[in-house]
Amino acid sequence: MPAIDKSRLKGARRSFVTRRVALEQATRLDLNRTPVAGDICLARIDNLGHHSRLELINGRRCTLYRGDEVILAFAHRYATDQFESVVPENLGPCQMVASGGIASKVLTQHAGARRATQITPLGILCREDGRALNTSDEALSVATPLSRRQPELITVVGTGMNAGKTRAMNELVRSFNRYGLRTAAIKITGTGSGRDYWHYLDAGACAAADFTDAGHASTVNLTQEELEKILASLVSACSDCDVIVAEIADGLLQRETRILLESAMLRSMTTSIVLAASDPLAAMGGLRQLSEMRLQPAIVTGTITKSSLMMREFERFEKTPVLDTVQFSEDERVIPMILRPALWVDNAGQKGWQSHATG
Amino acid sequence: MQQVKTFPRAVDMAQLNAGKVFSFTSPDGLDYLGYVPRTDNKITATLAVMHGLNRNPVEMIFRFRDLADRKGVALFAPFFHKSRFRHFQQLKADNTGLCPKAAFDNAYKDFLSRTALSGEKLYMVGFSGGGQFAHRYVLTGGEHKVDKLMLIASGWYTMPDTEEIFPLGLKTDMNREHLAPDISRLQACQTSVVIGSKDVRRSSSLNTDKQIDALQGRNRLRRARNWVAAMQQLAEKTNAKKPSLVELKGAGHNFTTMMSKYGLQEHLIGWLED
Repeated sequence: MPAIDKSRLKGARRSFVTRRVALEQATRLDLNRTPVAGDICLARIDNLGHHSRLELINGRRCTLYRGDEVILAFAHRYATDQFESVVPENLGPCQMVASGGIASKVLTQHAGARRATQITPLGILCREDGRALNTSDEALSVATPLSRRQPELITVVGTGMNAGKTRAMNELVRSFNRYGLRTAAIKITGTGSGRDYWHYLDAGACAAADFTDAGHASTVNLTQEELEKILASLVSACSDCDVIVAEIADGLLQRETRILLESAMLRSMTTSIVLAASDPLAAMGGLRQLSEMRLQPAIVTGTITKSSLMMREFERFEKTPVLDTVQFSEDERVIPMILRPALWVDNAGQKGWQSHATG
Repeated sequence: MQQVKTFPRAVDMAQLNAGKVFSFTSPDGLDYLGYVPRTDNKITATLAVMHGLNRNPVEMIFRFRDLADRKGVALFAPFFHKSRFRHFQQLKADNTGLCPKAAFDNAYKDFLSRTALSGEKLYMVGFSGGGQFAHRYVLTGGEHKVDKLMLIASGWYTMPDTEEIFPLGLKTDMNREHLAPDISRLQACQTSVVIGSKDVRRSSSLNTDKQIDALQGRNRLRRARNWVAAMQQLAEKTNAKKPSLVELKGAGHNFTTMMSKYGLQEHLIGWLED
């Protein structure tokens, strides 16, 4: 296993998802190892494609050129409007599938996406003893036991990608802050990228963290136990806040989203749910999916609110309030709406606390 | 054969949502926030948390969660929106004629029903305008008996003066006969007044009516001292409970800093234990 020149590493563009890794420990470059999710690699840009910029650890989006050397993490990706990809079985040429710095092998792609940026991994970064550097090395730990009373957790889910979840997150942070509360923002699932992380901080979150802080470059194919560990570690990291708004990526039909929403841990922590929807029919489908999981969103928001006609269509069929995020920090009635409880007991079609309980 | 009742039981819902802040809307359309601590013991008391004119029941209920957990009391915080109940602190009705007192009563019943709490005891704490509401609720005979009352940094008070018309004094306003104040109701309730020693600014939120200035003083500190003195004097004559006055040294008119810096949290704990 050849030694790696420190100055070469220093000159390489270091991606956002590798920000917690102790890069100074890298002394060797393994050219033959089979990569696993989270392994850190040095790679060369062969041809620019969909992602022509790389997000650095300080958040700057750096323009890439052919021949640039970059430090990425291997991971799977699940993005309905970009790429479906997996960790490759070897260090042959593959693709950079996310600007946060994900090396992966594309299986399918959205017709509207450009061809992925082509890369060649030059080796996996290893320590002197041969152990590979991995995003899980410096993961946040879970404080044990979790404190008796957690911050209130507002869980934001969506009908799909680009349904307006992050916008809702940002406006929720601003709204709770307006009431003098310390509000943190976390992202439990997704593909490593600093975009949302920086948005949360820009909105005024007193703390921001995502699954990359919990040691995962992406959350595709993680087990329920791994997903719950991410949740616990992120909540634990923000335990001195009053409120945590938590984003779950992608849509309600996505595997990890469903695992989390069915998880007893998430359900016991969640105060309320906000559903971001792209259009009325998606919103109605989202309500149905949540209802089947015995969950009730407090409000619907998202890109549906860009059109008053779409909002009216939805309101003709559903009673769940639909709110434009602009209202979040301006309308005093919004916070009481958002704090409607998410959990209810489904018996004979009744909705527990939402209807008038008869117990 | 008797049909099995399959509706969800409120007690199940209370367990599912214990330890979390939640909100509901009463049948009258009044939003309220609630919190039921996680405990194995039976919760018999509710602390009603009354916001001021800055209308921030959200921060108040969040700051009181620790207290609720420690003392095993539930929290109930109605939200009188400005657009509907502009002068809730003076018990002025909305444009449908609904009195804030009745709106409170109905929302509290809704809260007890949804949470399956017994509501054996009701304590009430009000900050600023919330303190005004709280003592006037007791004076005019709310549907629910208030066992303890804490008025924090109220702007002004209903004085024990039978010559002045309510809400300034105890004489019934003939246009609002349903609000007939009775001082004995307030005297039967253990009342504590808390004020910051630096709450002396005549800010835009303070009622600077000349009559109030003349009768009660020009700032909240003076008004609190004068009201407590008047109530204590009356109590001596009638052998009733005397309200107490606590001045938090250095505190101004700010709920957040009163809780975090000036000992209001500790004072509340002691007050609940008394």
